[in-house]
Formats: sequence, C-alpha cells, structure tokens
Amino acid sequence: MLKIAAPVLLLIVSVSAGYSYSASIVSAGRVILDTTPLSKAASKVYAKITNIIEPVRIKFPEKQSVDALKSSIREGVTATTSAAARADASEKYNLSVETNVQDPSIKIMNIGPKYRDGMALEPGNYEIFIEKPGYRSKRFWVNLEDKSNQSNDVILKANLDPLGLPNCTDRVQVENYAGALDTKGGNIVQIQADFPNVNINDLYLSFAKEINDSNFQEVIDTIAYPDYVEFQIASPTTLSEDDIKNNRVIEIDEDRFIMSRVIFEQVSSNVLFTYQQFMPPLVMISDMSKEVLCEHTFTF
Amino acid sequence: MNTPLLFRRLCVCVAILFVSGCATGNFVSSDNFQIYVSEKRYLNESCSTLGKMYNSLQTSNRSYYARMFIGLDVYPHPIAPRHERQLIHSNLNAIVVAIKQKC
Repeated sequence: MLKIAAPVLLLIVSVSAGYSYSASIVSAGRVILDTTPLSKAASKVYAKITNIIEPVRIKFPEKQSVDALKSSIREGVTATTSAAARADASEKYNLSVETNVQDPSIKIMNIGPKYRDGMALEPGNYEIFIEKPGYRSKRFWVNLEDKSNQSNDVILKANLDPLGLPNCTDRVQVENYAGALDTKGGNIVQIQADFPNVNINDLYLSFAKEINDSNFQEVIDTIAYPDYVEFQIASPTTLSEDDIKNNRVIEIDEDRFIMSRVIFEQVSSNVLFTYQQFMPPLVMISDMSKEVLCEHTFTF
Repeated sequence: MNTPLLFRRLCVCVAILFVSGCATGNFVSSDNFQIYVSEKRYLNESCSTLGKMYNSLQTSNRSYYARMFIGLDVYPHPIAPRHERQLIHSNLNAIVVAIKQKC
C-alpha cells in the first residue's frame, strides 16, 4: 500500500477545544456531533459492519411456471426451478447452489443443518453465504414460497468474482500525491478506482474482512446505505511497505494518526472506490507506486 | 535548540521527503486538485437532517461541522486551509444538490 513518511511533525497543533459541542444532528443512524474516544469507537466494528446492510432479499419463485423459471435476482446470482416432477405444495424444496468455482464453502446462516446439494428445506427465508479463498464472498437471502403448481427443485446460480481490481494500474488514479506541504494543516491524498461489474455489497464486505484482518489499521466508524458505504479508518503515521506486506502489529497513537475515508458507491453496474487520506501537518507519503498499491491495497 | 535552527532542520527534513516523493515519477502534486465529495452521501439523509446540515455550514463554525459530516470527529489535526475551504464548499454544494433533488 502506502509508505508513510517518518515522523517529521515538530509542530503539534491541538484542536481538541472544538469538540465540546452537544449532539444535535443524527446522520446515517448515528449522532455525528458526538465525539467518541478512538479506542472505544474502534472496537468490534467488523461485527457491526456485517449487520449494517441487510443482505439482498430474493423472493423466489417470483411467479408460477411449469417450465424453467429463470429470474435475475441480483448481479451474479440467478435462480432456476426445474420442470421436474413436483411434489405436493406442502412438501419441502430441494435447494442446490451452483457456482463458477470448485468446492466453495456454502452455508445457510439462519438454520442449524449444514448445506448439502439438494437439501430439503421448508418454505421460508434462508440466508445464503458462499465463500472461497481468492474470491469475494456472496451473502444474500432467498425466500422459498409455498405455492402449488410449481417445481420443488430450486437451483441458485451464484458467480463469485476473483479478488482484486482487473487491470489495476490502468484503473487507479492518484491525486495530490506529494502535494505541497503546509505548516498550517495537513495534506490530503486521494486515490480513486472504478471496479467494473461488481455489486457494492460483495465489494465492501470483502474490504471489511480485509481491514478487519489488518494489524495496523482500525476502523473508527462506518456509514452505510444501499448504494453508498463509507469506512473511516485510522492508521499510524509511520508505516513501511514491509510493515504492510507482513501485516505487522503497529499501535496507533491516538494523538497523532492518519485518517482515511474509504468510500464505495454503486454507479450503475460499477462501483466507484474513493480513498482519501488526511495527513497530519508536515507528514506526507514519501514513496508510492501504482504497482505497490495494486499489490497491497486493491486486494479485496 | 533555538527556533531558527529547529525550523531549518524541519525544512531540510521536509525537503528530503518532498524530493523523495517526487522522484518516483509516477505522480505529481496537482494545483487543481479537487477533493471528491459524493452527493450520494447526502441524498440518503432525511430532509430535516439536510436542512440542519445546510444551516450549520453557514455558521462561523462551518469548518468544524464540515469535518463532522465527513467523519473527522476524532481526527485531532488541522487540515491545510486550501483543502479545508474546498471541503466546506464541496460539501455545501452536495447538500444543496441533495436538498433540491429530494426535498
């Protein structure tokens, strides 16, 4: 990812006096004028993130049909009922999940029994979670309705996307790198990239998992809407490429750290990724290459 | 250490880092750098909240509020004035667009 300059901050400016406002505006479900100590705010955020956005709910079957029913239910996921012999309406559905990868881990999160191909399920709602190392996982709900005159064989087809950004170095834009230093305030570095043909939920959950595994970054807060997700992340002011490669444990100084905003936006079928780094005064990135960025940052 | 000496050392240190940053050749600083602010961030807010946000960015504490809106609550450092001005302006514009579109 980024190699951050060694500590050159000799002029420490405190603005803590400004944080005494009382909370009065609630934004994105949180009180945004209420300040929280860093260490307290950063705890267990990943668990919160995974619960922020309701996984896409898929109602299946959407209509009755004696022939194969194929409905586009979500980017990368389709559902099919076969025209095979149907059972009584009150009987169970036989659920199969097909993917484009070999031996994925498939779980039905809201029931006890482990998933197996063609497993019998009562009509109802089921949360499906599909994952495989090297790919972005998918998580969504299906609704199996109890209707007559339809097949009881249900096939879900889910395509997992490989991790990373295709043609990364061509797609990444870095702005204000090595921007002019200002003794009165810190610089901002901005990195943007366009992820083609991807669902925002898959992408941000993959990023959340990666950031959760990081030993040198802490998520402070998140904002999540169906088409917009933002992470606010603290990282140390001294961080080498080697630290990042080895995922070293580096403590974050609560009085002096780099603040990053990582934003995901669904723009038609693509996701716009924006990464803004707010540097303390006189701290700057001393080295950066798109190759390193692509190898160590765009890995989700 | 007296102040001029401290300042000279600081300048040398900064200069080395600056040259190092420029030397990679891949990227250069941009005088026309624009901080990206998404309208989607605000389009998802209620009209009531948008109204409060708009009003708060008209006050003398607009710098403080702009920082709050973009999640810099716990960030203890000042932002370069040229960036901060742009942050306020861009966020205000995005809020105005959101209000026009949905309220």
